[in-house]
Amino acid sequence: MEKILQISHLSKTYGKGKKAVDDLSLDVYAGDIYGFIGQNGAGKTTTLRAVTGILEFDEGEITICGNSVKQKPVQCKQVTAYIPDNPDLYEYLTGIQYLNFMGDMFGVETGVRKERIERYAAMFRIEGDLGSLISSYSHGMKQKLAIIGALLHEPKLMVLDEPFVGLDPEAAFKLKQVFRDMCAAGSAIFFSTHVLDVAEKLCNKIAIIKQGKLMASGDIDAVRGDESLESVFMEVLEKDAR
Amino acid sequence: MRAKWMLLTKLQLTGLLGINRARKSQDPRAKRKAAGGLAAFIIVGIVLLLYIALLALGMCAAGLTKQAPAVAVALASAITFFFSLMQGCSVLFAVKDYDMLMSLPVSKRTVVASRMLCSYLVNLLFCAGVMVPVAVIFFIFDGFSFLNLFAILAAAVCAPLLPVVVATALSTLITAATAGFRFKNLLQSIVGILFIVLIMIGSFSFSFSMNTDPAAGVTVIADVLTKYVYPPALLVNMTIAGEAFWGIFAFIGISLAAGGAFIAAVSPFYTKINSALFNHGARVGYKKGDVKRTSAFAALCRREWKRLFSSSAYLLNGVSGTVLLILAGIALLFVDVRTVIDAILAEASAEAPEVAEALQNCLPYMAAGLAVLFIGMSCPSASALSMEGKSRGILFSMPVSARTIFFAKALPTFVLNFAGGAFVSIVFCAKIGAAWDGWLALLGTCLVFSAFTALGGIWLNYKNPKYEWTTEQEVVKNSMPVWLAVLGSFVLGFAVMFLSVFGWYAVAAFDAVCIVLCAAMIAYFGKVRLYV
Repeated sequence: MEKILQISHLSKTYGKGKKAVDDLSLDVYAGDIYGFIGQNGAGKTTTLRAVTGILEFDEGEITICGNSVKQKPVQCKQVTAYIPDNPDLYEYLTGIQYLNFMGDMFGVETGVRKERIERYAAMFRIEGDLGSLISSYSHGMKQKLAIIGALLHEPKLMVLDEPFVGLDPEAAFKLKQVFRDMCAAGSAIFFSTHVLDVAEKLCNKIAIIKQGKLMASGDIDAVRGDESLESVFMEVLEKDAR
Repeated sequence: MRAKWMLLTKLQLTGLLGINRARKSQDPRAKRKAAGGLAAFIIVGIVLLLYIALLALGMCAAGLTKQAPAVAVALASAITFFFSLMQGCSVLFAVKDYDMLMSLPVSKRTVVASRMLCSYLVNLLFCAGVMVPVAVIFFIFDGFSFLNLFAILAAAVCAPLLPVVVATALSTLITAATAGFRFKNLLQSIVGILFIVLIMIGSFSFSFSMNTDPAAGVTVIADVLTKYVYPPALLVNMTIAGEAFWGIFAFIGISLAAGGAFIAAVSPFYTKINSALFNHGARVGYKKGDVKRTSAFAALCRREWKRLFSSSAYLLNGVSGTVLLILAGIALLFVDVRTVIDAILAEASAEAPEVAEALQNCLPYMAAGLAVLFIGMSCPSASALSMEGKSRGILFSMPVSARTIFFAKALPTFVLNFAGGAFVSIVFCAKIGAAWDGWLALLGTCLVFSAFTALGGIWLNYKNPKYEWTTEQEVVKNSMPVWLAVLGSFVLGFAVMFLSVFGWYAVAAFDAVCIVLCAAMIAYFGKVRLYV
């Protein structure tokens, strides 16, 4: 199976302080829905930001579809889509202007772009709002718009930071369906979440990070064994605390 | 399909100019505000064009027709440099859309180039405002030629490049050098202010050191501008004066090379510098600090001061007037003001004794006008509300009145402006040996006008908020309330200087009007409700 994302011995230290990410390695293959879980401040967002090439890291290597994020950032970004936890969209643009901008940046042909915008806007029920300024959108609508913008170029790798926060139940259900369809078509999803139920039901692989260190990773069945993911997660957290 | 750098530049300009928001907004107030802003922009533009045209006419009348375009280039470049330095690195680094932008398939070079281009285009608008009237006057006096037209056009297009690049390069160096420190924003602001102060001291001392004949004022200014302030302008002059055809091409080459070199040099470090700037991680030796209780108003005030010192762009724009006032005060300490004034009065007395006497009497009142002008130069309260941005909901949901919030937001402006104004007033009055009414007029005006600008700034900002911004620069420098506050103080300062010939009651009347307006604003703030 094609390796989409490879993180090898990633380390990142902020200033002279503690390591935010410490020697983290994991692989994401085509078809994987990879959940990334950990406490607040565990290093999830730092890892995701390093993967998308927007945060410089100190040690290690990250490759996307065989290209190094450090050496060939543009090629990596061309096949990646990133949705941060609180998408800061251009509020002075209308929804459709934003999507056109994203389409232009990723070089999506007009016909394809139109079809995808119509499909996803209908799916997430915001087709009637695309002419309005983004500043008038609710948090959920902005999240939906960011998702549509990310899907426009059919990325090989989707990196998402808490993607379900702010979404209504229907949109969350549809997004999960989109994830499954993308993975069936050979893409991969790598996302952080605090909702263990979502991770347990949606992901085929999971990684647990604690204080920057990878505590467990791999197939979800192998990681949790006979226990629930919640129990495994609590065990990992309490390991050093005892 | 258009190039990505063009798309990014267009995107930034769309946000900066606010045209799209006005066009697409369903709120009629947004359209009215945009129309008002455009009208104000056109009026200011016309005034600028007329003013520059008059300056150009003066130069041509003084026989300096050939030098006029080069002087215009030097003047536009010097102003562009100063404002770009004030702007700091906020165009390039720590912008709110950094994450989104950098996750797009664009190179760092493209991002840096588009940001520089955006800054260049905004400054080009200003340079065109200087160059167009000068070109018209120049062709009227000197006659039309295609070579000169080409030279002036090329000079106008290239003029902002070098100053923008040099100012941004200096700011980038400051940012890069301070990015690793804990109090990086404060450090950047202090170094930035020091830089500006050093440049000003350098230019002042240079001006004082020149032994010039006042009669040859225009010629001297033209010489200083082209030879010392902005020497590349001499290259433009060489072509227009017919000395060297290649001068303008050298000017174009230097400007473009500087731009290209800067983009090539900064791009490789773009992510590194941004990563360092966004680094808010707790240190190993981090101490929690004491838990202290204070009143809501004190907490709000402390927060306002912290906000001011947390952003180099906010601080640089917020304290520039205060710094100038303090600098003026320090300069006055070392200058024998009394002797200089006596010499001027003696000269005036020889020609018209009654004018000299009137001048002598109204000196403190004229100084009050100058103080008004400088006090209004920086008005952080005019952007204090907009600076809340998307997190305004936190503040607006607090169990305190809008008036309390406004007072807390106005306080730093008042303190900074009054401190600067009071310092220069005390030094000036002591140096000229002013009578008690002179002291009262100058200090009183500083006190009252500082309060007026602080409250007026917050009122303007409340009426014209701009909560959605990408860079702090859009709010602290380019927003309508800030412009209105600065231009308003400019007009009022000149008005007070002019009215000072009528004696102390003109200044007293001005102060009384300010007090009444302050009282009206305080009463109005009591009725205000803040909504997101």
